[in-house]
Amino acid sequence: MNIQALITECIKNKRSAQQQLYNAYADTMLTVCYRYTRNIHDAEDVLQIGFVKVFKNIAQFNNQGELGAWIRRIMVNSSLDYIKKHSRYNKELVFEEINLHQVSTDNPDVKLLAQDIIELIRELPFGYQTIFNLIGVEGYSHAEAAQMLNISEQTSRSQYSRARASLIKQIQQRSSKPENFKNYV
Amino acid sequence: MSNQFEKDIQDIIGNHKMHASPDLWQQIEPQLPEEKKRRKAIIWWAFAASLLTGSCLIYHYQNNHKAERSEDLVAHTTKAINENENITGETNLLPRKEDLTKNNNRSNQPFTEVEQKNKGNTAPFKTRQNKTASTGNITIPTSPNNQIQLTAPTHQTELFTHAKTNSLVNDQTDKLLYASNTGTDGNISNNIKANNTETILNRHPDSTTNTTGILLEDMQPENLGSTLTGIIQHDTLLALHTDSGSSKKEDIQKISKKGKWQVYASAGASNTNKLLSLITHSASPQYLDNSSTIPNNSGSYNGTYSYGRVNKPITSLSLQLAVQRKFIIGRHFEWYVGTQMSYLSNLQERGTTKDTSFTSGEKSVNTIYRGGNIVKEKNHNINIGLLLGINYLINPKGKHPFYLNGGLMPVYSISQKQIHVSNTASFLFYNNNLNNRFNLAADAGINWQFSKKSALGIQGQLFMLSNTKKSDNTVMSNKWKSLQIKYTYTL
Repeated sequence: MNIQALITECIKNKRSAQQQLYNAYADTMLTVCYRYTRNIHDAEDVLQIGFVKVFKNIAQFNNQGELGAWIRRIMVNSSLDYIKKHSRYNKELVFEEINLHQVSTDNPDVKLLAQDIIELIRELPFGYQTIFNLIGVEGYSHAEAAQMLNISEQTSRSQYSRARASLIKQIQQRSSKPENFKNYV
Repeated sequence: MSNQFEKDIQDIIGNHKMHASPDLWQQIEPQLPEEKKRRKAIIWWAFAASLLTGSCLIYHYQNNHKAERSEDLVAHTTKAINENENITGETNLLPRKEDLTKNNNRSNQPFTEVEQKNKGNTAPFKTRQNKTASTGNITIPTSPNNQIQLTAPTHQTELFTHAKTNSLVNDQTDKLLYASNTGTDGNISNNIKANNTETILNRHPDSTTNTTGILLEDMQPENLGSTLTGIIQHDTLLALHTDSGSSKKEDIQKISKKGKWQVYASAGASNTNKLLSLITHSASPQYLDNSSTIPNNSGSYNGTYSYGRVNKPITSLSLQLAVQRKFIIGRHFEWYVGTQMSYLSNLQERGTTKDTSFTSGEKSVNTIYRGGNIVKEKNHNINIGLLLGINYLINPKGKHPFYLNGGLMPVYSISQKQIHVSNTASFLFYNNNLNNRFNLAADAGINWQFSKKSALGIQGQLFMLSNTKKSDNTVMSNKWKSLQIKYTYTL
């Protein structure tokens, strides 16, 4: 079944088509949710919420762009909603208003496995983790990220700069000692 | 951001995959809107239920008119029936000892006296003296060795005419109940059942009512709760019951994240005599309370009279609408609160019967006439009730979930002006391995109803979940089949 036919069937709420779509994207989207949360259970909760939104709103997908990217945006928004809603997350989601920090232009070689990098991102302070996910991984602009997190664009820039520097430092440290990496899966 | 660092990060983790829990889809599925096709299914079910209900109403209406005519004919017999008795109290409908004594005493009186007493008001039963007096004039063709030789229908008509002429049967005897011929000369050896043939169940009047049977149920968890139920019981030939509503049957197997409303609507209909509808109750608590043998006079025949009472539902119609709300509290508890309204209508045959049996020749022919005074009665019952229930779920997301259920349902019968309270307790255990083609579940429980007459029920159910899989091994759909064994004991 091609993607357009699959979408059409999903709009009709055909369970088999919905499950096919879920099977195609669930594992990738779980990684997205996992990067924004603290544990796999919360990530699965977000994934569940996200897919319900996907299927309820799939009629609004107008075929402009890739379906995977559209689903990913829903997962990111669902993740942000989740962490804003739950106190164990929103207490940590603090963005200090600080002066503009010069964004580091360091571009170190990244020779780590995906899971290791994901774990390093998740080890960042929660604010850093969130802003780096939005800008560094998802590719949102500072303006978009600022709007999503209800912060100023300046704060977004400074937070991202610090998050990036912190992550690079971690990667460089860990790259020199690969034995420090655990198998997190 | 278009720095190389960000690009590398995106390349490495952009399409990284983690493995989602296998049962995650099962948690998502109940939260999704229903397929539009399902709505069509509901419409079809509703249409079928309406058709069934409409047919039964028409039949019900027709029977009601017949009943009124019948009441005119046998108005005098209504005195023999305690009209204030509770229609559901089956033993109340059976003859009381004082009635039987009365009948026996009457049978010892000369018929002429009774007839005089009831002049203009035909007595329901003829007396023994009258029977004896009228014997002896029937001519039955016999073979050289005194065996019946003519065809059975002719002979039956002849016997019947003779019986009427000689007042062996009363005016209400208008049908031949059962006739059998067991000729010994080789010419006749058959059993003939006339149009109104019935199987008479002899049951002691003080016996309790027990029902036991097997219920086959086809539940489709992924749709809106349409079920098709067939019931086979030892005193029920066939029953068909339909349910449709917006509830989802898979609620019995998993917790949904949000509480929700559930609506059940059901309609059932029954018929005893004709195959118009699909439920047959043949309770017929009938027994023989008196008999006498007519002397074999002139070698013609022997006669036996039998008296009894009939309480037999002919048609019944039930409609039910229930609304309930489920609340999820924590991980392990589900609460149900709801209300229901139901309507039950019965058309019943009630009254006394008299069977007149003739035996002619040497075991040659045995003919039974059904007479008596049977009244068709119509009853309506409207109930309103509340429903309170709780499910305790052990290991709900595991492979072997275990459910404990308890429920309480007080129902007020507007017609009977009394409250019935029923409570249930049951448990459900099942295997939830989606990799299996079939999974099994078992359910067992008891229910107890308090009212004028209490009832204790025990039931067990065996479910089978069949999974349909696609070529890539993902589960497409699943369906539940169940086999239910029920036993209800009325105290």
